[in-house]
Amino acid sequence: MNADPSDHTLMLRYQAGDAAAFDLLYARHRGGLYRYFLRQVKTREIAEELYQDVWTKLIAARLSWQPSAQFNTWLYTLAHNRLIDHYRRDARARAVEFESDDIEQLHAPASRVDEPSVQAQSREAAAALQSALATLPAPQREAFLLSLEGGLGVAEIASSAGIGFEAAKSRLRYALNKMRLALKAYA
Amino acid sequence: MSEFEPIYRALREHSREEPSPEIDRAIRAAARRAVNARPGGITRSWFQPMAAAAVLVLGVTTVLVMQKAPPTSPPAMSTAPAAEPTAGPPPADMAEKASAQNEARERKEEPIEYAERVPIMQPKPQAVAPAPAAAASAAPVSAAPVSALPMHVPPAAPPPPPPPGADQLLQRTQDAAAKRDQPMLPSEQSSRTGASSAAAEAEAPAPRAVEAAPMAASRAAAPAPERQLESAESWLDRLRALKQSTDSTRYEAELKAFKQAHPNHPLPTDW
Repeated sequence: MNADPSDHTLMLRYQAGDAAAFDLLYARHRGGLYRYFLRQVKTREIAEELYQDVWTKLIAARLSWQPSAQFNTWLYTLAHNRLIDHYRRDARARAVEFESDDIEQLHAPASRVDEPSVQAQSREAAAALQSALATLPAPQREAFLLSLEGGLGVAEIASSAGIGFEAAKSRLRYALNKMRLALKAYA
Repeated sequence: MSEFEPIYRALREHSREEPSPEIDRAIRAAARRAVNARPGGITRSWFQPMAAAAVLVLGVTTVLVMQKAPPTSPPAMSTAPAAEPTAGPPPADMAEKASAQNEARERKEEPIEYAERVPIMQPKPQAVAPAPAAAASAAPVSAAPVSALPMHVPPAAPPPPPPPGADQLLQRTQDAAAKRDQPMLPSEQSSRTGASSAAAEAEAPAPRAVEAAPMAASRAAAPAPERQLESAESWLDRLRALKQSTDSTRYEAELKAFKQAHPNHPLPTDW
C-alpha cells in the first residue's frame, strides 16, 4: 500500500465512502486553507467560519468532484468563492477589488500589524512578513496566498480565482516583488 | 519562481496558525456523517425490496385478472374439417374414389384450388365474405363449411338466369357458397372487376359443382393432409364433449353436420 497517497487517490477513496481517506486529506490541507482565510479577513472568528464553510461544502459536493480536476484547485476554488461571497455580504469589505482586473487601481487593505494575531508573533521577521502581506492589494494577496498556502501554480491560481492566466501571473509577480522589497527594507 | 523561494520559506517558518481542534472535530464528524448517511446507500437499501414487491404484486394481479376473465370461446362448431382419417373406406366407395381421382387429374389445377378453398377452421361461419381479391387468392373463399356445399348445389339442368342485382344481393346476404355456385351471364362477368372475374373463374361451374359432393366424400376418404386429419379428429373431440354435456340439441346438429361432411368417417359405436 502506498504510504503517501495523492490527493486524487484520497478523494476517490472518500467518494467511495472511506472516511479515513478524508482524515488524511483534511490533515494535509487544513493549515494552508486556514491561513488562506486568516490572511484575508479581519478576525480569526471570520476565518474559522469561512474555513468551516468550505470544508462543509466540499463534503456535501464530494460526489460531484471530477477526477480530472486537481483537488487543490477544487478546494481553493471553493475557498475563493466563499471569500468573495463573504466580501459581498460584508459592507465594509471591498469585494469589488476581486472583480477588477486593473490591479494598479486596487487599494491596499488596512494594515493588520496591530491585530492580536500578528502581534503575537514572537519574531520580528514574521511580523514584518505579515505586515507586508497585509499591505498587498487583495487580488495580489490572494494570488500570493494561493501560491504559498495552496501550492498552486499560475494556471491553477487563474482557475481558482476565475481570472485569466496572464492576470494571475501578473498578480503573483507583483505580490512577490512587493514582498521581497518589504523583506529587504525590513532587513 | 525560484527567486522567490526565500520569501516562501520565511513565511512558512513563521506561519504556524492552525484551526482550533473543535473545528477539526466538527469537520471530521461531518465527513463521517456524510459517508454513513449516503443518499445513494439509502436508495439502494429500499430499491431492491421495493422492486421485488412491485413485481410480485403485478404478477399476482395478472394471474387474478386472467382467472376472472371469461375463457376464450372455442372455434365455432360449424367448422368444416375437410379430411378424415385414413381409416379404410367401405369397398363400395373405392370405385367412386378412383373415378374422382381420375377426374381430379383431368382438371389439373382445379382440384388443388378446390382443396385450398376448403376452410379448415372458420371461427365465424356467418362472417363477412372476403373481398374479391381475397377470393382469388389461395385463402378460403367461403365462410360456409364444406358440409354446406351439397345443399347449395344447383340442379344439373341449365340454371335460370340470375335475378337483377344478384351480385348486390349476394354481397348483402354474404352467402358465399351460393355466390360460388351461381352461374353468371357473360355480361355480368364482363361487368365485374378483374379481381372478381378472376375469382368467379376460379369457381367451379355449375355442372361440375354437382360432382362436388361425391368428390368431397371421396376426397375425404383419400389420404388427406395431416392438418385436415387433425381437424376431423378435433371435431370428433368436440362432439364427444358436446355429447357429455346437456346441450343435446347442439350435439345433434353438430353430429349431423359432421356426418354430412364426413359420411364415411367411422363414428363411435355408441353414437
